[in-house]
Amino acid sequence: MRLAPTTLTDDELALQADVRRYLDERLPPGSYPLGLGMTGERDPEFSRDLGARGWLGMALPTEYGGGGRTAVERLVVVEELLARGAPLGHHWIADRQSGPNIAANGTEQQKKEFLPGIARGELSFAIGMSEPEAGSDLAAVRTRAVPDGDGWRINGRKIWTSGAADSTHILTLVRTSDDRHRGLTQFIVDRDTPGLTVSPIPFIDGTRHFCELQFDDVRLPDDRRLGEVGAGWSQNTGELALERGGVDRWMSLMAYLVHWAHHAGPAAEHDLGTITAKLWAFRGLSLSVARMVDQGLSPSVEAALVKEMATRFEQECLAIVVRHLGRTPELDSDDPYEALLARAVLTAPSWTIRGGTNEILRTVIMKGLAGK
Amino acid sequence: MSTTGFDADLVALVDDFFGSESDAAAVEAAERTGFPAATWAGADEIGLPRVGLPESLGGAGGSLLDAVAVLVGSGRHAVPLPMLESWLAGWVLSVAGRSLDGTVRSFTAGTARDSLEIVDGRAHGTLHRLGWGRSASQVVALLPSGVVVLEVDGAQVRERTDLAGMPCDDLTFSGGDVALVDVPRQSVLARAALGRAAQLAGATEAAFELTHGYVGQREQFGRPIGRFQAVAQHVVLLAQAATTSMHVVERAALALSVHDAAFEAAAAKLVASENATIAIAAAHQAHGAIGMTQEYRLQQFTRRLMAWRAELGSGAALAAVLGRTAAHADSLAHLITDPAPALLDIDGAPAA
Ligand SMILES: Cc1cc2nc3c(=O)[nH]c(=O)nc-3n(C[C@H](O)[C@H](O)[C@H](O)COP(=O)(O)OP(=O)(O)OC[C@H]3O[C@@H](n4cnc5c(N)ncnc54)[C@H](O)[C@@H]3O)c2cc1C
Repeated sequence: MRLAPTTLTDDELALQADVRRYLDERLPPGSYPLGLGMTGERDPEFSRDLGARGWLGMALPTEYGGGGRTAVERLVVVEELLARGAPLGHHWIADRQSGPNIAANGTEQQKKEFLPGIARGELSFAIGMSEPEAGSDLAAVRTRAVPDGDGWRINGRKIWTSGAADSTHILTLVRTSDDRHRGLTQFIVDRDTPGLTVSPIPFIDGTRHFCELQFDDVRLPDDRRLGEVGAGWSQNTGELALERGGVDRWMSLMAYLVHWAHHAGPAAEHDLGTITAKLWAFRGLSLSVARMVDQGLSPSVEAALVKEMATRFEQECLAIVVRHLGRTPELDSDDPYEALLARAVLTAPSWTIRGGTNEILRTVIMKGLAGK
Repeated sequence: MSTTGFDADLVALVDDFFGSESDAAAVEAAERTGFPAATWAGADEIGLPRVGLPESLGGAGGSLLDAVAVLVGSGRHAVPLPMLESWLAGWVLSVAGRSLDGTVRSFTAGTARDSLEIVDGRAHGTLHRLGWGRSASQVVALLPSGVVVLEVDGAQVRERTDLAGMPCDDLTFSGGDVALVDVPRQSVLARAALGRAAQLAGATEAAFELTHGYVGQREQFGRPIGRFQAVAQHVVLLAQAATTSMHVVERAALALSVHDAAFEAAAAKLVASENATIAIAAAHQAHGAIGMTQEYRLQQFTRRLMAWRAELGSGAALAAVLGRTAAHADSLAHLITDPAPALLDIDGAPAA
């Protein structure tokens, strides 16, 4: 499997310079809570500011308020946010995957209804895939939608739904017939729909973004169905390619690493050098995947290959920087970087679980290799 | 945007030629006899050792990217020829404006044990670990004092081999001809690191392909061992190593075609070397005992990975200079996204 190298065009470099200039002003160090990559804080105002600059929904069509730009341009923006540990939590999922999914599979009315709000940073999505009995084996989903008059009635339970309590919408995958794969359909559910109960599940670091969803006779009009009845599995798979291939898979610790590079000292020089070379390599691989997306290819196996390796690398980096600290980082430290590191220690085991476990990714890769 | 990479026709030609001239038996024979002169002559006839060097000086023409593609091919087929040495020496000579011919040249970036001195314009002392030194007519060496071209005629040869069983000799000079050439050490070191990385990437890909094929055929417990997830994991590691090494090599080669890409060359070599270590372990584990024998081909690739990973840019030296570079950069995040990142000093000398 080859991932061809690619470089940024002059326009893309100009965008990068723009984003840097803006973020230097908008997010001066110390003015915002540092985040661990894609789990950055929620700050709806910051999300709206990015939207106003055209840096959300970049690859969405312009007629629905999107930027009509490319996956590479989105990467250029996103890597600047992640490197700063920016508060991107409010818009992250909608920008990365729900928006593109709706653009690809939604009706005209749905595109008009949701995409402008996503591009403005107003709407916030959560992903309702996993269930208590359907984790790695996602096709075992049991939450069921049955036809009810003009619409649908949903009953069941979703779990591990990151950010559901604070989001405006949940894009969920539910069962509409017993056919294992073709019996699944996606729906867009308003967060405050009657019958839907969202309960936080305290996460290992004490935060409350992890949620459980209970659907009790939740009634949805048919215009909340995304795509054809039975098309949910393939739409979901397309979404996973977007979810897996990006720079976010090796940038969880980046804000800390950027700081550490200047403070690590000579004793850490070798480790810093090795980390630098690998970051440089991963940046190239992610850029290559994004370029393939822009060429109309669907590099889902490539994305899995990169994610599996990148998430292990993130965990190795963490072990290295903690070793150099020489003691247990303190969660309540006055030094925001040390506190960030402490949160990384607590949450890092999840990096190789979320978005598909490394074991499952390896199976995806192995199957993909057979076809190459 | 440039998404161009290796020239597909050239890659096919290189794979064709080396695929037939450097099969398992040919590599094994070269290990016994030292230097396959006929194969060298054949490669030289189609210009392979001189790809990427100017035609006006006797090179075969083509770009740096082409030269790197040939080196990748030499790694993929475990080619028992001084492909890297010839290219590096040839490049130095061509920059110095000297013409090239089909003779064998060796190259060294120098070792700590070397005792070579230049007294009154004559070479005295020993250079260690010269690939194909015994067959070479000239040696290009990076001395602390500069880049020199030595005539081998009259030097005393101590024949030795590297881990892959290839000639890797010590040469003692006592008054031979030597000329200083005006080529920056940094540029030579960047090409040396990139060239070795290219061979590592090729050999890593070959180890992946061999292993991927093997686990689909070898059966235990009534099914192909590749169906066991624990075995498949080794194959995945190999695929990741091969894909990443090939990517960084191609990327560094593109970069070196347009600027002095010492950073990219160093990073590519470091990554390719680390991947070699992963690939060696994974490929052998997936093969079991057969992989540990001389009669099975895996060792022709893994022994090269073992020999090459710490050569022409050891992990320690490259990590040190990259680490210093990162510590001094305005931002690590900017450094890794910079279209032309500056390396403090690939030589590993302390920064001023
Ligand atoms: C931080 C975090 C955020 C998340 N956010 C969301 C979200 O927003 N929305 C959402 O829907 N889900 C979310 N998830 C859930 C995530 O997708 C699942 O955790 C994941 O798919 C694994 O499912 P599971 O936890 O049920 O583990 P299981 O599937 O029970 O797996 C347990 C272990 O068994 C292994 N295993 C299982 N099957 C196999 C097999 N066939 N071969 C080899 N090994 C196997 C797994 O790799 C794992 O190591 C999140 C998870 C985390 C940790």
